[in-house]
Amino acid sequence: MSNIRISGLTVEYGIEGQPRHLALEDVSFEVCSGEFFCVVGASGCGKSTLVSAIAGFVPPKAGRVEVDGEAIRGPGPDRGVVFQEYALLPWRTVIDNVALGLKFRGVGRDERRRQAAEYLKLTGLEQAAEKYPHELSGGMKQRTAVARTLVMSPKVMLMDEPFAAVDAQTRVVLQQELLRICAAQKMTVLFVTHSVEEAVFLGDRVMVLGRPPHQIKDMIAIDIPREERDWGTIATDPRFAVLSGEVMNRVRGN
Amino acid sequence: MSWSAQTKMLKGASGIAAILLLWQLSVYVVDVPPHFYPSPAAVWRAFIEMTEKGILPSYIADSMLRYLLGVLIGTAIGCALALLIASSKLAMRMLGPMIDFLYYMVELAWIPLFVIWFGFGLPTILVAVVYVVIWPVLFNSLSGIRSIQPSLILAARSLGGSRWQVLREVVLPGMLPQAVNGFRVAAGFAFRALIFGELIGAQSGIGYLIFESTTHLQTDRTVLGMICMGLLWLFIDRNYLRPFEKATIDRWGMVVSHDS
Amino acid sequence: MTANGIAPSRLARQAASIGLALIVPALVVAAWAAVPFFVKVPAYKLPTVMEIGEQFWVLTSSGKLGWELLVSGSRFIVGLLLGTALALPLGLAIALNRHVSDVVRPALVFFQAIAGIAWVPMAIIWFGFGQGPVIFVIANTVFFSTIYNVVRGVESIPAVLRNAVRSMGGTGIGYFRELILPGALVQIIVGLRTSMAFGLRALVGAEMIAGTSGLGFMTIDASQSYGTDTVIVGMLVIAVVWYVLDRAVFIPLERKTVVRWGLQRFQ
Repeated sequence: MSNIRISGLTVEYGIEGQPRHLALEDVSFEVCSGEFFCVVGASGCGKSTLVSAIAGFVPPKAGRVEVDGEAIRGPGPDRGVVFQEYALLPWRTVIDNVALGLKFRGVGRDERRRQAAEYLKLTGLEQAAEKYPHELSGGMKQRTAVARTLVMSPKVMLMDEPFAAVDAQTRVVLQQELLRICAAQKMTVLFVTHSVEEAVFLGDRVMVLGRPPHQIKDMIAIDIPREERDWGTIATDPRFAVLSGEVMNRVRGN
Repeated sequence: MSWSAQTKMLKGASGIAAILLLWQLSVYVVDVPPHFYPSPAAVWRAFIEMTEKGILPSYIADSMLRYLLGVLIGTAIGCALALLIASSKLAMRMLGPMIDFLYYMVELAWIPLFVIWFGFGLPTILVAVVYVVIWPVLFNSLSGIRSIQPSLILAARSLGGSRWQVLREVVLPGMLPQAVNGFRVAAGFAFRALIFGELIGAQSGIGYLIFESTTHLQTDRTVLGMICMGLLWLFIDRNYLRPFEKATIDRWGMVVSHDS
Repeated sequence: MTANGIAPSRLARQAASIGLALIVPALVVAAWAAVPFFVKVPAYKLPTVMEIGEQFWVLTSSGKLGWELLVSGSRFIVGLLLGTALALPLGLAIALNRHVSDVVRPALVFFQAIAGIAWVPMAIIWFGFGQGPVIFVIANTVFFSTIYNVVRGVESIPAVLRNAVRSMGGTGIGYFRELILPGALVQIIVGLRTSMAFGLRALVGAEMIAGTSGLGFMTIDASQSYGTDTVIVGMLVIAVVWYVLDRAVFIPLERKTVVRWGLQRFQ
């Protein structure tokens, strides 16, 4: 069953007064329900634009984006977005940041704090509930951002290089936790990264994106069971090495 | 208080004391008419006399009332304009160049026009104060709005925030630190505009005191007025403006560039 | 997409921008012209755009405007130089010596709070009406503004750089010439713009109260005889002068030093 269906998606970007730039041209693919779908590519290949288009931040010039069979119309809480730069409100505490979407939905204060607290527990943030974002480490900020989208029970989660700004040790922990949480929530994820290893470690499938035209250069299934995805063991797993090499080759354009 | 802070205060106090002392001693030396160079002692006597007669307190009250009123009205107008401009691209394109132009209009140059339009008196002073408050508040609010990370607004929209909700939850608090900074600059401008307005056209107030007393050669009162002006401003700045700024900025861990 | 395809749309967009920008001024002028039809205002309070233009021509062709501009400009320059020259050594002394700083700062803060226009009446007593008080007030204003900039400039030099220069053996004059001066220069130049803005306000304000000539005097003098057209011409000329100064001098100057060194001020 497919959850996200992209067909013939073309997106142009332009700053006023400058020639417009074609970021995505005639891109089509599908993401299955419950799948962890990674998009990998060099910078400038339009992978962030893809997230923006699915999130509804930029209107496509042509093509359709459907989520659960419905064409999207602008941004909405059915698609949770996690940004590289966290995008937490500096003037709200962690728990109030997580409860923000519920507030928009009109949920009462006590109820939304109760629900937010549940997701703080899931992401391991109980101790930080009353802190302000500037008091948190990068990793904790991104946990907050993930909790903030999950609390809305979205149909899909869109993640745009979420771990690019955190340090290497934290990143490894966050990747494993993300897999655990997404499995527990049966979440469909579209995850964009420039790191081949990250894509192969996280993804059920990895899509390699290049510049237009013919942007989708490859679609590679990662047939390593989720239970075996552990940085302690996978680094020495020959399947991981082979798949990483394959994806790397496609990213480089061979 | 720590030892070093204490010595620092002592040193600072000694600096001020030295100036007072030199001032008083130099009066004996320079031999000019007293009105040309009033001594600290004379200023002190003027202070006692004007306070006993109740003139000084009523002048200060008048000045503060005008000041408060002007700053409040100006801030309200400045913020409202900033929100209007920020909420609509069309308004931005229509008003932007006009505002850029008005930035270069020196506020004081409006005073003669205000005098013609509103006469000498309270309306002119009030309009002048309001006018100088509007611009720093507006500019800084606008630059505050522009400095909000685009992803914050996108995140709020993708969480289902309506236009109004995004404005309330993201744009307003996001612009606040810069707006507060602008407010502080504006409060400084306003204070000077007030004094200037009172110099030109008022029957009471600190500015009036400074100007009027020179025409009677009561320059001890002039100097008293100047000192009152300085102390009043420091009082407002230290007790109200700085704590206000600190309260919003420190708690959120936000940094604002200070340009004033 | 070809270049030909882009050009017209870009032109159209620019034209739209200019058109939109002109709407508000047009409305202001229209409202200006319309007011007398709705409310009874004496004609002298609202001269027409034509009258203002005529007055501008009269003032220009008679040489009056040029003369006042010259008078104000020369005062401005003298006051600016005087204030800066006095402020630089004191500012550096405060910035480089903790004891000087501790002793002088509180007094400085206080004087800064009364800097500017409030000195005009006292300056009139000292120098009489005319250019004395005007120059005094400009210099006074610029002085305090510049001290602040110098101190901030030196303080903004990162400790890492200080240590680096010291560890390479830079002391005394060398330390001063290689680090302190260039390091503080950026802030001083950036701050010069603020100082000039304050100085210009001091000029206009002081001329209005104590002047017997100059642009500020011209406008306040005209307002006494309800010469609203002259007042408005004066306002616009002051604005244009400030605009030209800013665009032709400061922004390029800032760009030259700040951008060339790749610093937007030390953070």
